[in-house]
Amino acid sequence: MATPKELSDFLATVERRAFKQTAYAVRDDHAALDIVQDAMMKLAEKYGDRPPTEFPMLFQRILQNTMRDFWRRQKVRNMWTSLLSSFGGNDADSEDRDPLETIDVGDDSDEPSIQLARNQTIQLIEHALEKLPARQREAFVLRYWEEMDVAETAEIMGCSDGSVKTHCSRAVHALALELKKQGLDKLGLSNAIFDRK
Amino acid sequence: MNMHKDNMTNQNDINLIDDDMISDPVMEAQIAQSITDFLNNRVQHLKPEQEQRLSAARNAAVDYLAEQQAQYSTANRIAGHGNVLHWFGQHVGNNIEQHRFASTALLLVVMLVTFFAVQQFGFNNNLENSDAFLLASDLPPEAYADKGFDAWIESN
Amino acid sequence: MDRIQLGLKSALVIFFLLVTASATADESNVTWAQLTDSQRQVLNPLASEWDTLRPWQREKMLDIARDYPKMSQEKQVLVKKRLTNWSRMTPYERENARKRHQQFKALPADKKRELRKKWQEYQKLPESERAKLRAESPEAYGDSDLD
Repeated sequence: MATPKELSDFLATVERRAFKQTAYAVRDDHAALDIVQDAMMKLAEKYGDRPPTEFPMLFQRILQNTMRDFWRRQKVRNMWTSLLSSFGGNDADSEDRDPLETIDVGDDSDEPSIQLARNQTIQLIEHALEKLPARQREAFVLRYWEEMDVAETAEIMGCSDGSVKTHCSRAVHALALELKKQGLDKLGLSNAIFDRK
Repeated sequence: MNMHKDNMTNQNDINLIDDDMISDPVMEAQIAQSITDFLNNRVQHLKPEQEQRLSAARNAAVDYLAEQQAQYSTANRIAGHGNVLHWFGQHVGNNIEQHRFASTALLLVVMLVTFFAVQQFGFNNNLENSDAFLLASDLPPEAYADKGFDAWIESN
Repeated sequence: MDRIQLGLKSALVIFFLLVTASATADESNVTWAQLTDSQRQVLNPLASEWDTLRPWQREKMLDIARDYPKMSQEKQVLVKKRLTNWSRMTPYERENARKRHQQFKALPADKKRELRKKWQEYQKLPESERAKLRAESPEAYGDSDLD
């Protein structure tokens, strides 16, 4: 049985990634925060008696389910907005924000130009992630960002190991091509990729 | 695969990424790793209000669990005292009344004890780690407390 | 009937209020004799002075006893060795030490090593010089944030 301290420690280590992961999926920061909050509470409510080693899997599964519920509600709402906008005439969902303005840049000690380049890279990566098909993004996030193995990812996603591998490689493929299209070689990602070994 | 590696080191250009290279699992993992490095850097720079929301949500979940566990242990204790309540109840007489009485009392007790338990627990939890860790640390407590030591380090 | 029940209910509420209230107060007010065996074993260096400690000091010491079993053998030895001195420090010194310890924990390993070396060097200074250094440096914390 997990102690409240163990739950707290676990959540503190995953919450930031969980939030961004959700934000990429639902493309709405506020909704993402709500979803993460719900998922945290559900973990405490339903699985507080489990050992903390099981938390990463459980939490991811809850998070994915909560997101799925969000999609379901979202579909209904979108239907309404499109119905309404066909009457009213103005398109409500044109939220084409300038990504460079909305990112909150921490004070890294790096040179400003490097920091700027890195922020642009981040913007492009985030954008590319948002554009991925949901299943591919899910596979990519779980397998590579949450560093789960293929079997765990498959269990959370409710599919076979084989299709996890397929989703993952398609996701990386699509991300790489998208980034290449955006000319990321000028922004330093190519170095980031090729310098590592 | 060897050829790809040569290309990479010679040209160092993302434009060389083609379908073949990405289908190489090592390459796939490398690209994924670079991307997640950026993402990990990104999550270190959330907006303050987002950080606050997250930690508030975390605290709510943790408080809930603490309360649950306190309730659970109280319920166990009450079960042990069931005989007393039963005895009490028999003296009151009416069976239905007794049941109602017992459940009301039980509810009240659970609420009260939970309240105190949570207070108590919350207090202890705030300490994060007790002085035990300070005492067991690399330096003796005197080193931390000695302001002369501070001054001496600064002047050196 | 209803009146009896009402009376019983309120009596019960008051009873439990008293019990829980006294239980929470008791926690920090236990005498040496009331401690459990394992608590007494950890806090043994304090046996003679336990009953003179202030309630909140006892509470802090009980926290130490609580965390003690979770520590490695060598850490446990350190805790026991340093406990007496710790209990005899002033609240000022203890609070100061807690804050410094937090800062120390955040340092990189090489800085920690350096500080340990410095402490050893400092110990070699004549006591008169150390006393002078102490007297010259201002109090780091006010009364407000103690214990």
